[in-house]
Amino acid sequence: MQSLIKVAFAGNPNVGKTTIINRLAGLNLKVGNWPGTTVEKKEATVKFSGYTIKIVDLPGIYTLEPLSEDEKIAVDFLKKEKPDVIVNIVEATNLERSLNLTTELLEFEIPTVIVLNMIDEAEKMGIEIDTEKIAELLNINIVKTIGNKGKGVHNILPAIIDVISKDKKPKVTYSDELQRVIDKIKLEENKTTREAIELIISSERYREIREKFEKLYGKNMEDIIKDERYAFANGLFHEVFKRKGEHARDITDTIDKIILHPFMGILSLVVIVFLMFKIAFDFSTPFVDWVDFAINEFIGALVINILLSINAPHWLIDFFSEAVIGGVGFVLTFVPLIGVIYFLLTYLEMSGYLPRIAFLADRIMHKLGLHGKHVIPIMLAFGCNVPAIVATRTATSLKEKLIVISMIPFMSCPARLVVFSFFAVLFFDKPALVIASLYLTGILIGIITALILRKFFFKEAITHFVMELPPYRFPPISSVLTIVWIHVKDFLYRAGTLIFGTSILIWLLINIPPGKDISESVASKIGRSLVPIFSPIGIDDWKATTSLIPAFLAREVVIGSMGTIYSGEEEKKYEKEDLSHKGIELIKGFGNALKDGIMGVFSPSLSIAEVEDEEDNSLKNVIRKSFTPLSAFSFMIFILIYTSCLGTVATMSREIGIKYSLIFLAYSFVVAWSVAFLIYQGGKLIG
Amino acid sequence: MECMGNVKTGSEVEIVEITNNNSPLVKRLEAMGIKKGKKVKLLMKSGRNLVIKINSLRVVLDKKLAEYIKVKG
Repeated sequence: MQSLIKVAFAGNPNVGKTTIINRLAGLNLKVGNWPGTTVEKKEATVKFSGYTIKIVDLPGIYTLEPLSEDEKIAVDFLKKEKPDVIVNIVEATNLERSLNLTTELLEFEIPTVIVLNMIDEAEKMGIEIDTEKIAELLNINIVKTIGNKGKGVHNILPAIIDVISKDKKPKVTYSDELQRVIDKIKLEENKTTREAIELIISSERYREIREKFEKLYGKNMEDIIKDERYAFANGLFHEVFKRKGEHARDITDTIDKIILHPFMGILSLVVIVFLMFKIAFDFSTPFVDWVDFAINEFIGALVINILLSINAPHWLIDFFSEAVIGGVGFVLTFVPLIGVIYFLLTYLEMSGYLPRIAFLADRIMHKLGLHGKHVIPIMLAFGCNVPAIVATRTATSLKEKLIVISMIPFMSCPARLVVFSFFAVLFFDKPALVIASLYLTGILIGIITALILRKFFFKEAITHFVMELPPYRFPPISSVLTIVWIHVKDFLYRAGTLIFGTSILIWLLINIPPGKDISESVASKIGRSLVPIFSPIGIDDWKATTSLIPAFLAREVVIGSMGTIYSGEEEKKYEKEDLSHKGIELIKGFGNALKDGIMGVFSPSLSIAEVEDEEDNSLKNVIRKSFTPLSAFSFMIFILIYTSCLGTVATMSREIGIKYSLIFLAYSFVVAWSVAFLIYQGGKLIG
Repeated sequence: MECMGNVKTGSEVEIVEITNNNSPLVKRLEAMGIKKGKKVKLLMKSGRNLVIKINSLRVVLDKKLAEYIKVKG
């Protein structure tokens, strides 16, 4: 027997498959896409008593009939990759429905382990399932679990090894006449039940038999097979399932009376979303500061110390402290925010609330030609565009995904708010009003973009709405954290590759030729050559256009880079620092961040809405002189619309490919310029 | 015989026929367990959508799709 066992996990959606796989795989779990699709693929390799077990999670499906990409992926995998074992996760509370897929899976005659999950919920409902009988009738192994409490999960891997070492081939039995034909084909041609059925349905050789059946039953062969499968599943269900007494009142129905209510539902949605953003911002802000300190003050100083002690040249120290630590470090300060948003998103998803949001939002989204579920990524975008783009994985087609992804970057995020509050306070009496109008402009442009795409490019309408509303559940925090870690790890990987490369490129632009002032750098040359493009929108100073180049890392960099460029950079002096006190501060700081984060969540105000006033005044004075209120507004519009965010572009290119991301980037630039142009020129006319 | 969309909210009915069952979405409904002979309860109507319940399964579907589900009281 081989030591590498390939296992496919299959099951209906919402049966707790993700939780069980998380428990088995832990941090070994890898998430990607099935090749050439937008469907998420989870994989893991685990070692167990001398075996290497490769786990592949198939998409959650109700049937193997090819209704969408999900089923095609599952069937292709089972046929072509031929797993050694199938683990079929079945929801004990929905056994009747689950057994339809089970029947189809058994036809492959691959050794199978059925995981009967959520047995605690079933017991509460007075359900009794005769597992020994199922195992005996189907010739499979069966394991009972309570996935979200982790109970029984440890029995799955031994069951896999047992079923393969005994080479148990599962069996299904259909009605006599059909079974005789299947058995004959299996024997004569050495096929599995599944292959035999495929031959009966479509092969020329079996046309006579097929026609005989079709005449006898008065329907086509596919429907006959479907009915046979259903009859088998149904027969099995009645043989093993018992329900005692009245079941307890369903808590989900009670909660849904409020959550799905046209008025109360929307009200609770507003409250939940507000809380979600409050937690996301208030909890992560102290950690953002901590990461900033850790990277710039501690690691930065540490690297400088090391470089000084080996007498590294000045430019090398510049390179490490500015390009490597400054650039990448800046993008990394977003990790706490991104992590918290992923946590809340995953928690809401696993608790069963997200489909309810989709249901409530469908009334509005439908009018835009979109599906209710697309409101979730768009909503998240106000927290951070990066997790929002990842959340579009629920889209059922690439077209849908492209439309939603094209809306996301126009939703303003906290990074833009930093820029807006700096300029709005400086130039306007009512900064809050200005900022609100910017947010609305972004939403409007997102909607227009979606409408244009729908009208001219992706005409096929998303008309129908079918979605399961799973029962409410408490997700296990450990599984939620595993998923958060997977996403954060992915973002860190991007930061280490694409973001790192771009950061170096931008640094080089600013620092070549070496030893010269920034006003003579390549970046300033590009900045100067951009002036004719930007002057129609009111930005006619090369210093402002040059600031936009490093701002591609993240929009809020623009303020810092303006500081550098407007003030004229002085040669930095590097000195060795004693880092022991900073090290202590770093450790203490983490504890303080945790404390502040928790306090922040419970404080009544929203920290993000407090306009910070700590930028140095010299910069404010220079900026005040080089912009007018109108050109400042035009500049903010440009910053809002143009996707000047490397994290977003990097995530986008992972999800929809580099080509579409670059097209989108160009589109956002053109729209940003056009809207700013209209506002600036219109404003000048009005005066 | 009437279609699922015309049923009164809160009432329980039996599915007598599912038409247009070549469409992938109707097939999906069937795979989810919405089949002939099953008892369905209409939980609520909202905008273009319905929420129905079969055993412990809750499904949202739009009214156009619900037209294919023929029921009797």
